[in-house]
Amino acid sequence: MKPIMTIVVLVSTVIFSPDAYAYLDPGSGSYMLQILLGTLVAGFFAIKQYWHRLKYFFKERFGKKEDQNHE
Amino acid sequence: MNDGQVSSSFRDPSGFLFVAEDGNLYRQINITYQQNYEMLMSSGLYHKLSNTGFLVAHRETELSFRRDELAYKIIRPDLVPFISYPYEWCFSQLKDAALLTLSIQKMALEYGMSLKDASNYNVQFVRGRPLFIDTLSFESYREGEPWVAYRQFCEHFLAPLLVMKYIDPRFIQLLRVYIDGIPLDVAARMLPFHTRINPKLLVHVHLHARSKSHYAGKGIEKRAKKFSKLAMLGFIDSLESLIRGLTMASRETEWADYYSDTNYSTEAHDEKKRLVRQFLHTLGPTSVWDLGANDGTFSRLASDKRIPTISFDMDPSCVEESYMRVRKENEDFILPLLMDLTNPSPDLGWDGAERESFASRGPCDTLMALALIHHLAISNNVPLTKIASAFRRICHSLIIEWIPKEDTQVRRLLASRMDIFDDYSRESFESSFKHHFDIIERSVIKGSDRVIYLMKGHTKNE
Repeated sequence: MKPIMTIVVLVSTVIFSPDAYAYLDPGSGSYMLQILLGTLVAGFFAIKQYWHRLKYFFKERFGKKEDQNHE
Repeated sequence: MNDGQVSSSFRDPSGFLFVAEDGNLYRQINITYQQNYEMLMSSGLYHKLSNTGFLVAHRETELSFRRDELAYKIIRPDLVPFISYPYEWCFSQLKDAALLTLSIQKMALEYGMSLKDASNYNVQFVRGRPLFIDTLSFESYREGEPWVAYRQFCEHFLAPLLVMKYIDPRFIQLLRVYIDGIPLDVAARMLPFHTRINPKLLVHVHLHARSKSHYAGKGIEKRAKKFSKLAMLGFIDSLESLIRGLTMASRETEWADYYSDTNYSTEAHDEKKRLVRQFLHTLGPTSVWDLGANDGTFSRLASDKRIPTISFDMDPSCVEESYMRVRKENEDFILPLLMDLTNPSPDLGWDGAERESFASRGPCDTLMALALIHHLAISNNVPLTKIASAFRRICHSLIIEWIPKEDTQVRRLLASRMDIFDDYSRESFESSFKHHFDIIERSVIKGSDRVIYLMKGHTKNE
């Protein structure tokens, strides 16, 4: 199954299907969830970092301007 | 051959803790962990973590202390004065322990290492702050591999925090049953439906639980998939921002207004404080346990004198309030913990020896039991003789307050039940405690009918 389809199946089972008990090897599911969502999470994280940098950049400039106005 | 080995330290093949013949605590590092240990020390990560107070400091010592031939090195970690367990923590203690673990993982990644486990038992509270105590939890980071401790982190930290926040803070007690963390499928079934709509909770709890069952027993080709470092940092950041945003809604509890709702006048309250201070001065204890401590007002009479004090209460709100004060005031000598004395922490885990019971972690030097005895004797029907013998087992000396039946607090307890407590009298109290303690001093608290006693345990019982 393609990764995107696997995510769709997992999400739909979370929302629509009744709960099931799990007795299992704890490693594989956690491993695969990270692999499946890795690119998406990395993308969001990169955007968040750029956004923070941008905010910092404007804050710096705005702060400097304010200081200059006081002078 | 592993004589002296600490009973909780057996899972990790990298090494274990033991108490040597000289009575000190050491950690044996096995040959299998040599490469990782050398990287931890030479990369600068150890110094960074120990200097920032995140990781317990240690010094290397003689190999002659080794317990077996697998040893590569013996280290002596700084001692943790009192071991507490996650089911004895309030919400913010577990939250701070979680955030510490994530901060360490981020730092480790900067130095080319990663945490191979994320157990909540790896964190202890020392001088008011969380401290990571497992020096052997670090391994070299393998590019392309997901975080091996992700599931454990979610089950040890995230799931209990969510269950406490969304259901009830008393559910921290689930960690007594599930000592390896609340299974994600259990947490997912307990949490309200709306948590499935929150993207972070959907991923870390609900999808995670589903993924566990979906891939149960299925072989996966690990080499075929790659997981970038940015993705790893994204997962850590997502967990961190999720946990940082979790707060406990304050709620009214039975005891929250205790000190403003008693029949104590301000004068009597001050007099009680003066007496406790005086008794503490007389005893000069090296450690204090305050039972039924509420928000720790009286515990602080000891801890403010730099006496290491554990402040136990059964109400999560009281422990939370006290811990928040510890953080705000940077208090070093007081540790607030959750403990129901009518059902205190038992020996738990493998062979019933992995986690020690409340009493096994004693005795303390001085026990304080102020405004407590009526709750044990009347609310919980414990005979005074049993209270006296139980207290004697966990302390050398005792500061205890007698609350007579005429007291409004006792009347309140008896208001809704039949008074079957003919034996609840000051005479009976004194004779019960005299079996185990010598009464050194007794003082009536002016402005009340209550009496404070200073007692010392009979030496024959020690």
